[in-house]
Amino acid sequence: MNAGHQTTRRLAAKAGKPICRSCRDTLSRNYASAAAVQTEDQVAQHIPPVAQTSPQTAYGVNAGVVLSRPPQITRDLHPFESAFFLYQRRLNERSALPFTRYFYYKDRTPADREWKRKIKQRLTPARDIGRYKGYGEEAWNDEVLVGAKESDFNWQVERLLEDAETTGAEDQPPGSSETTSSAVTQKKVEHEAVERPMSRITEADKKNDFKSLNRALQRTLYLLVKDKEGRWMFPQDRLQKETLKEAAHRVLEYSAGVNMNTWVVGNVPIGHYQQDYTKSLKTDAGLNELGLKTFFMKIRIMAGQANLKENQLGLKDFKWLAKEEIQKEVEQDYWRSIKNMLAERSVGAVAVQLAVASGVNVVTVCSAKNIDKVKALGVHAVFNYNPPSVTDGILSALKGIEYLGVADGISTADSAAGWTLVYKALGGRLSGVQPNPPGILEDAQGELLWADNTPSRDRDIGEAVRGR
Amino acid sequence: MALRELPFRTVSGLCREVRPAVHAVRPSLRRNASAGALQEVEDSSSFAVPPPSKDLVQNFDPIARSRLRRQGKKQLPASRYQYRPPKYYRGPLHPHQPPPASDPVSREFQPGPFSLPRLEQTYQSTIAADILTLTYQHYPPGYRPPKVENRLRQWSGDSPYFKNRPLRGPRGRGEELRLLNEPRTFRNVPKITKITVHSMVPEAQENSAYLHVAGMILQAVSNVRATAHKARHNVVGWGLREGKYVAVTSHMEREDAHHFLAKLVDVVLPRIKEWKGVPGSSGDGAGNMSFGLTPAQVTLFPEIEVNYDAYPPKMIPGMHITIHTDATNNKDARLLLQAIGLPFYGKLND
Repeated sequence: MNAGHQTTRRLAAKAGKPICRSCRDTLSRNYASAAAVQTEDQVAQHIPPVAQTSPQTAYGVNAGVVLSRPPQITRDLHPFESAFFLYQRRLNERSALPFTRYFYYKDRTPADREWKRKIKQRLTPARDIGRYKGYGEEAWNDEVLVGAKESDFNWQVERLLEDAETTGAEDQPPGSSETTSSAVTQKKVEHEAVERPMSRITEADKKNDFKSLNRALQRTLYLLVKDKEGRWMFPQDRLQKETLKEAAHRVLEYSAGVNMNTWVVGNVPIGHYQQDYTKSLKTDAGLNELGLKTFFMKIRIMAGQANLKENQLGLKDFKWLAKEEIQKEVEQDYWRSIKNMLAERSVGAVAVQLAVASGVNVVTVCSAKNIDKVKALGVHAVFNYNPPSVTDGILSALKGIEYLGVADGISTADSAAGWTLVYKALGGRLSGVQPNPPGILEDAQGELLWADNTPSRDRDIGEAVRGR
Repeated sequence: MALRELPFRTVSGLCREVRPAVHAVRPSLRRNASAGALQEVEDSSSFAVPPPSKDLVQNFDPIARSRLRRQGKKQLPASRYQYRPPKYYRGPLHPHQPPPASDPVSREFQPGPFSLPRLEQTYQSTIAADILTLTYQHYPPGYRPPKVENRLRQWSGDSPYFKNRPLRGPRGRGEELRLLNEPRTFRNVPKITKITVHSMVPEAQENSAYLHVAGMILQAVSNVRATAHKARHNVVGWGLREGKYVAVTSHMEREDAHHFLAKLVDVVLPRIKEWKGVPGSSGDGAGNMSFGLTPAQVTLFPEIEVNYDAYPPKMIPGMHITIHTDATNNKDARLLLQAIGLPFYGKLND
């Protein structure tokens, strides 16, 4: 037992309300073991306490399946990412050794002539970074201008296709070719047309066909079904005398049919949902059933399609939805229990998510176009930071909430101006990401926490921040 | 553990102690020299200046501007305008410090990354989550892991030299300290860390052309400069003579490694006739897996095919590919590679 345990226990005790039974069991047992039972430590492995001999209350157990289709294509790059990649490739042109032409093209061959024509036009061996020369007087001019297309993915694809299809002699007038001096018969080299890549937006995307598996190829899609009462949820059924994995197979067969090639990932559930009844039920075994617990198994679909025609669970409809679309369909407390098992790359806003996850009501400001995104993170209230009345809005939103303090993720004079009035009115804690935020009040009440040295102190955060 | 329930309760526990602090503290208990200096130098932000007009933006031509500036004037040599970092690092106290390697003016700067590899995206979105589910080990609340006894032995005896001496290794010949298998969490899902391509050409001792060809092939395939290695000992059976160059390697990391592996799995290996897979006996117990390709299989790489004529056919070497992962045992490493698309055959080495 170490200091961490003791702190945990003290906090748990301070929180007042009783904690869950198994945890309390553990905690009290720890006290006991520390006090008297020396033999406990010799028993290397702790065996959790067996349930009571005649339990009076119980939960019904359901097996659910999270059937998902993984992303089929790469995601669209953020404009900043593609601009960064283009810039790095141009820097590479500046520092790389020259292209070894004779290793790839024999001298005086048609391919060699074509190469010479093309390199004259684009100045660089790379085919999709635009007209740029990495050597010479003007190599410093490696940044693209405002509104340039070079970093656009589609533009780059077009350039590659164009390079494959053309000979480089198309634009030149017929007489001026460098090889026409002799009577060499100018054999017209025609490249055949190259097959275009398939569109990244499919028919199903255009029609917004939620039943199709060809929709949203960049996202993970999950199968959601509509039950008898008209609620959208993952397919589920009562667990019978079987393992969870067997139950997952059965639930899938009973709900979405056999016309699918699927793989159950692992033998353990990836999450659970607890539904409490308003009034407990009496079961056949004489137990008081307080509610239902649904354990979800993860399944991947390889081929096929769901078919509800002969389903035995009374399902009415199904949809293949991405994560944020699920949120709109399901009930709020259902969403709260399932959202963390739908794995997704985290996209920014980590601080807000951490705060919300730890039970804090977050009131924040952001720009007008981001308001919906921030709302989706589960904040209590969000305001546009531009209007001057924002302070009043924040203060009114904070009414009736226990107030902790201000966290500033930018710590510039502008951002400080946003919260100064709120801070003046309420005080509390203050945290920033710079040691001396400009515009900090002389008479600031409270403590200032710095986040600037967190990366060096905490190894995990530091590694994540520095991208190692 | 109680920790599982804790986030909400921690907050409610902490909240009680939060009140406007009585002691009014000037926030700058600790000062950073840089922050203070910065405030003195820059009193206004560049964001306060309005952006340039649309007309100016559209007609901006950096080349023409630079030519106009240089017109008729003799410029100083380029070295007067350019900053060159110091050639040698002269220690932390020297006034002339080199810039970090991420700075484009640094001598160590290497551009990149140039793309976001597809395999890496698949790993992030699909493979990592699946491996976490597959290797999850449940511990009931209150579980405490069994105590691991010290794996290293004490020096016992009354020699004064035993004091402060590092502990002894495990007993037994060839016995070594195996890696610890930490419980699986979202932080330690195995991933690809490095790929090493290696090709040994003993014929290079007589004719160095073999080494050049092997080096060119490795470079073309891996996008990394190849390094040549000398034989360290005389081995008569293999015809090795000490000090002669016999092998080339190249190490790929990050983007290069992902592109190479994707190319291997999607283009090269499917075209090999009757390829059985990676031998199941592969693996060193520390998460590294190796397998080999014959000269005929090496020619299937698209980079070799595009100018196959440039390589003398008899000199094309085979190669060994080692995939380094940060798994701590063979099983996890194999699981990762199978998820990426490398099949294994035969008896598995666990």
